[in-house]
Amino acid sequence: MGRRRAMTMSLLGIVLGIAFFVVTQAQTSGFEAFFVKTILGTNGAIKISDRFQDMDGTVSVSSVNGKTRFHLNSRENARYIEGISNPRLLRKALNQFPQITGISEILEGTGSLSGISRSQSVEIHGIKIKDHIMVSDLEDQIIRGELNEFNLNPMSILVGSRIAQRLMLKIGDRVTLNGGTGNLQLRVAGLFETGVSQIDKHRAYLHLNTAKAFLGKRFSGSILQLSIKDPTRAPQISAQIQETIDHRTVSWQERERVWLDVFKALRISSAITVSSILLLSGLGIFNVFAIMVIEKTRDIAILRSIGFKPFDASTVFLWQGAIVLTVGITLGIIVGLLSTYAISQIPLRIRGIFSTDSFMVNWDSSHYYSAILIAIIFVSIASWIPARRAARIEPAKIIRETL
Amino acid sequence: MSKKKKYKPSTKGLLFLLLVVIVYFIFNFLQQQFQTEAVTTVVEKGSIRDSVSGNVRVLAGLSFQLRSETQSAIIYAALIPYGKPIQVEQNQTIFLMDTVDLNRSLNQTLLRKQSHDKRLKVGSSIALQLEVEEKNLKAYKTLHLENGKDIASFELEKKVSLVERLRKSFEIELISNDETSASFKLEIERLKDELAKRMILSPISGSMVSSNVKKGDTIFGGQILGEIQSNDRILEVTLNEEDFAGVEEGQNVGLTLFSFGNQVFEGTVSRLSAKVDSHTGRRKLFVNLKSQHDLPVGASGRAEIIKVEKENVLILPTKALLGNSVFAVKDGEVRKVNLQIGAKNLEYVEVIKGLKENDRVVAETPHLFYDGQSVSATELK
Repeated sequence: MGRRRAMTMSLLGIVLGIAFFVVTQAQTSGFEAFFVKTILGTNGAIKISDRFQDMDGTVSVSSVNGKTRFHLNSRENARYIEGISNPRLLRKALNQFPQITGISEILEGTGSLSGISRSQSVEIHGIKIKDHIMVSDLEDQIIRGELNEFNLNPMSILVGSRIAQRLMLKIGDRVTLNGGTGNLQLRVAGLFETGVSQIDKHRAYLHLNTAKAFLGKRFSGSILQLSIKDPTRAPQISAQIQETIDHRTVSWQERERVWLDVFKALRISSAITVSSILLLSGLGIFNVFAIMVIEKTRDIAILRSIGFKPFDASTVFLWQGAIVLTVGITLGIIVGLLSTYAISQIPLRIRGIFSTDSFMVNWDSSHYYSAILIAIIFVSIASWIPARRAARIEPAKIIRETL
Repeated sequence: MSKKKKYKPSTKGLLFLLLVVIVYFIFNFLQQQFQTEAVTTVVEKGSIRDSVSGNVRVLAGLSFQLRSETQSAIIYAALIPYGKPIQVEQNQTIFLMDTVDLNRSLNQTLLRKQSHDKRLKVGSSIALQLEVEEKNLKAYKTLHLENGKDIASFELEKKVSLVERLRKSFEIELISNDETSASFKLEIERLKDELAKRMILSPISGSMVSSNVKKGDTIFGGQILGEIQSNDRILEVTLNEEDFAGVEEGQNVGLTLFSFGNQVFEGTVSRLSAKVDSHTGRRKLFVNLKSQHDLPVGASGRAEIIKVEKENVLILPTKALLGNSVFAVKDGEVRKVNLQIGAKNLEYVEVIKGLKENDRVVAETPHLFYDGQSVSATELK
């Protein structure tokens, strides 16, 4: 009875271990995936900014074990001219890269936006809306107003939700943009919310030509924002683009390295923590089997004396372990799936680095494979050691000791 | 009699052979599955342009801002503020100011001068008196010499003194008259100058593009009244310093102006500026258009200066380059090939030596491959 309870507890440990592993991984990678989606949806996969002035190449060659490789070196200390030099030629050159799915020219600057009662400094982003929705989720980020309104009226503006809140702006309100080469009277065509508080607090979108006239930058100062088919390949593609067009090119992974490292650390940390539950469950199984082997020593000796081989004796325990493991994995996955779904329904309002009103989870099969693999390793070891001991039992010795 | 030995293939041997074949196919399949895919492009013949691009500004050949030099009220303006630009000839009156006060002063001065001239014509009373007194003095002297008792020395000295005084008074009167005459002349000249200042004339034949004042406005000295530009245009192109290598006079230029949409204007480099702006690292050149266009002054756009244009040469995408090398793909392996390259732009590069037509090179992320790597090649679409 006691053994059964202990075995049930160990089984429960495996079930919970797998479930917790899946849930924690789903959460941390869920938030990470959502953060990445937000980043790609706001600032794109690749940004091309300044033109390098240095004429030196960035390619170096190394040869290890007879294998010649090329390296595209970083150009952090290179002299450069602010902004891209000729958007039209750059676009033509970028069309040679089939991975690129969208190119948007952006002119960045600053100004002071005045509403009815107060004013606030804003970061102006001059865009061509048709190009920009190809490289961002701006279409989905609009919470009030219409992108079409913005598209039709060159003297309109899209403002971040926090700016609108502070200046008490509504759709259709007139605002004054001060700074640059003078003042502009603009009409609010829409409010957007990215969830990234720095963006929602400070960013406003204008038509590219309006921004150029306002900032007095007819020729230079623009940057290009790109979207690509496979964002995970952004570092490799951006390195090639930088080498080809001689402009500073930064991938989203490089841009957001700090946050990605934080998420990575959290994911590894939770995996280690939850794996300890599986380890403890394995120890529990080991304990039960070890006691079982001691208690069943005589029975094993009798079985051996009537012709059972050592392998047969160990197989009994290995099968028991396999049954526990199979049941544990099956239940663990079911509990993990249900828990992940339940957690995804919990309301949780987060604003800051992204915007969500519920827990974010990532439905990724690799989490389940990892949990199953860890459980298999621990339970196999926990079953194998007692099984080996059972196989080593000498029947003659046991019978002699009994007599 | 020999018994003919019949060859019978053994089952084990057949199984072994079958196993070898299966293993071979599995090995090949796995090798293909795990082989890196290289997206390649072929070296082909085509045309290439080695060009640099810069920013264009349209400037007027000559431009004048018309300023007033005096304070007055406008009584005529050739162009009203925000009016349609007009063509003007050299020395055409552009602005006319009120001159009533000046005309009055001038007339008054002329009248005074006239009176002064008449007074001069009438002659001087001092001169007459001097003439009489000189005659008297002469008589006195004669009498004094003949009989000293008739004219006392005292009387003679008194007469001499009188004549001397009259002579000096006459000289002073002459100086005063000269001064008055000169003063009138200067005053008349000043007034005429003032009158001239109240009439603003066009310094050149061209277009009056703007006016800041209209009839009835009171203007002040130094105020800008309008602008006149000549009809010829200068196209100024600004290039980055490092792009200047290879740019020469006579090279073809393609220009697009923002206000003209996609229309391309063709021209040639007419002259290069001698200096580089040390702050911005930019240098200018000037372009002559091949045909006449009515371009607005201040318009901006982009220019592409074509250094070299080559036809029917071997080209490959610039993105395939790693320094002066590429990874060529042959027999499922990548091989490093050093190139001699010619013309180059952001899209294509001319291959002078190292590759031949239809050779295949890695086009996508070539820096991720190594020399001798086995790859499965796919064509770049």
